[in-house]
Amino acid sequence: MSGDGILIRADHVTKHFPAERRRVLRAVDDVSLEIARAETLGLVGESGCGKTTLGKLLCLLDEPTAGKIWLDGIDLLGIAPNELRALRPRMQMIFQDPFSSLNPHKTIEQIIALPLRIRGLQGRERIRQRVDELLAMVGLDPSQARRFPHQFSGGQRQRIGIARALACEPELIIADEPVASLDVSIQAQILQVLRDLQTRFHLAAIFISHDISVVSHVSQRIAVMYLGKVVELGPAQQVIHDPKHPYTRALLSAVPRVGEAQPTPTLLPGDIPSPLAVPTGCRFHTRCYLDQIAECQSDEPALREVANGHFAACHLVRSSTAD
Amino acid sequence: MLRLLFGNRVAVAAGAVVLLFVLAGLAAPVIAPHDPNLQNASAIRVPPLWQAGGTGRHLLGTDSLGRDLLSRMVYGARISILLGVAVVLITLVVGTALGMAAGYFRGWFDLIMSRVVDTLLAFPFLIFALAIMAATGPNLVALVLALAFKGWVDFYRVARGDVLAAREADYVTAARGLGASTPYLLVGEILPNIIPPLIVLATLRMATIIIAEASLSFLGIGVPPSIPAWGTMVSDGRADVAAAWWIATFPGMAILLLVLSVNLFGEGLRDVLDPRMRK
Repeated sequence: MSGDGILIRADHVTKHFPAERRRVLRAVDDVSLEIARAETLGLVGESGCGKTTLGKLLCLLDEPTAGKIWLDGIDLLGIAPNELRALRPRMQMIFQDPFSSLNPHKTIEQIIALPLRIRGLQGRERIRQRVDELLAMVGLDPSQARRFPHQFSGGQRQRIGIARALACEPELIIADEPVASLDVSIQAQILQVLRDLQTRFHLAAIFISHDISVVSHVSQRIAVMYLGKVVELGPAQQVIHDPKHPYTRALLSAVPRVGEAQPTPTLLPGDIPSPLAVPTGCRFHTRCYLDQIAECQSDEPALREVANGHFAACHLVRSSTAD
Repeated sequence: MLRLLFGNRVAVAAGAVVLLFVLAGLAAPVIAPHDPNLQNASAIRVPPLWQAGGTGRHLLGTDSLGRDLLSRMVYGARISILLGVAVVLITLVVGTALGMAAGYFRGWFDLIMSRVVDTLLAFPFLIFALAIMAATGPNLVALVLALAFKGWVDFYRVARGDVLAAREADYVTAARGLGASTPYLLVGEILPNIIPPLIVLATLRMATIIIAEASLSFLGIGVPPSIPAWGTMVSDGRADVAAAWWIATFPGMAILLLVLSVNLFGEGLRDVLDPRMRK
């Protein structure tokens, strides 16, 4: 499995949470995907669609109910806990909320030194030096290393979170809405920092966002999630310019454009259904605006290749490849 | 934070009183004018200095065995505070450790511990301590254990609840994702964030323990009679209250003042450290 450039591979990954009255919350349902080294995958969907859960599953911060996850050919669910712990630095998550992801009782230096110590770096002076390098790398003043998280702004805190992840020298970064809680003026800066570092260190990345336009700028491929399932997956340009799934089309029609005619947004009727009561058949059929066929309500559509490397899970999309 | 505490005048005054008691207890051998256990048949029930018959030799008078009350008072402060600190420290450490383990690991450990705690909560604390002490007789080790037997439950509950919340915090998840070990997560990441309410609770528990120790000593099954303790002194003076009011009154007032001060100080500390617990 290794050697083919695939860094992480998820196979039929599912996460169900038990809910009250014996119900089951199907946060992530049978998702398979793979990410190559140095590739960026954008993961898009409405809030509550399971994208954060999927992100946490992929770096094993949460354990899947079913399915398998391989990192560089290693079955992450089949190894002992301490082996997994040793692998953790290779995949790092950047959290959505920079105010809760840093321990309020620790200085920045302590926060960034932790992964360095875990990876076996020793000696006060060497650790301090490395912390300073990392802070400089994310555009922070190393002289502020003795301060506490609450003395920094949201954007600065997110830079600290990025520096902490980099300290692990990871191969995969999972960025969960890293800019969603920041001011618009800061968002672009943080995205730029992430991109620069990604190119510099050849990092693979999963970029999670509810905003398809943000994702399209940074990703080579895009996966669109709806109610715990990937409904469309393909090269970023193809997904953006030639979306196949009706849900992706609706998402894209809502993106504001500059300098071109704004298409009439496709408004989806109703709200996203509860993951406690997933509709039968195609889980999008309750909000779909296409002329439905019987299968839409009875059979769950599988993700199939509709163009080269472009997959969609919809009964109504015609394949433009082989047949 | 310190400024906030100093802004609370009641808490500052209470803290000063507590400090005074602690210093008196620590310096007991220096301050006490007499051996607290020295009996003097020629100076029985001497009234305090300001009453007719009072003498400068015994500022607060003597008891029915001629022992100097002031000396016994400062030694009594020593044993009250010593026992209070010992019991609170033991219960704080045991309760916090068990509570953190239950809150973090959940599962069977949490289930069993929760049942144990429910059972302990059903016991009336003082009656239980009374039963233990009645069985063993007055002895310091048994007293500490009897007082600590149930006290850890409060720390357990606070620690467990706070860990349940803290373990889901992003910074804990982040540290786990970095490859940190579970002991490190508990001690290095979670503990510093749950300690303030536990400190407040420890202070408030101290008052309860002091009262309980005094009650047991009053009943004659707490501190051994060879060690001067306020509870024992109140009990000694009880029969003579009409003839020699001072024997029971001074230690009684000391208990009241110390417990009240510890409580007020604890509440002040709580308002500063832990806004969630505010009334």
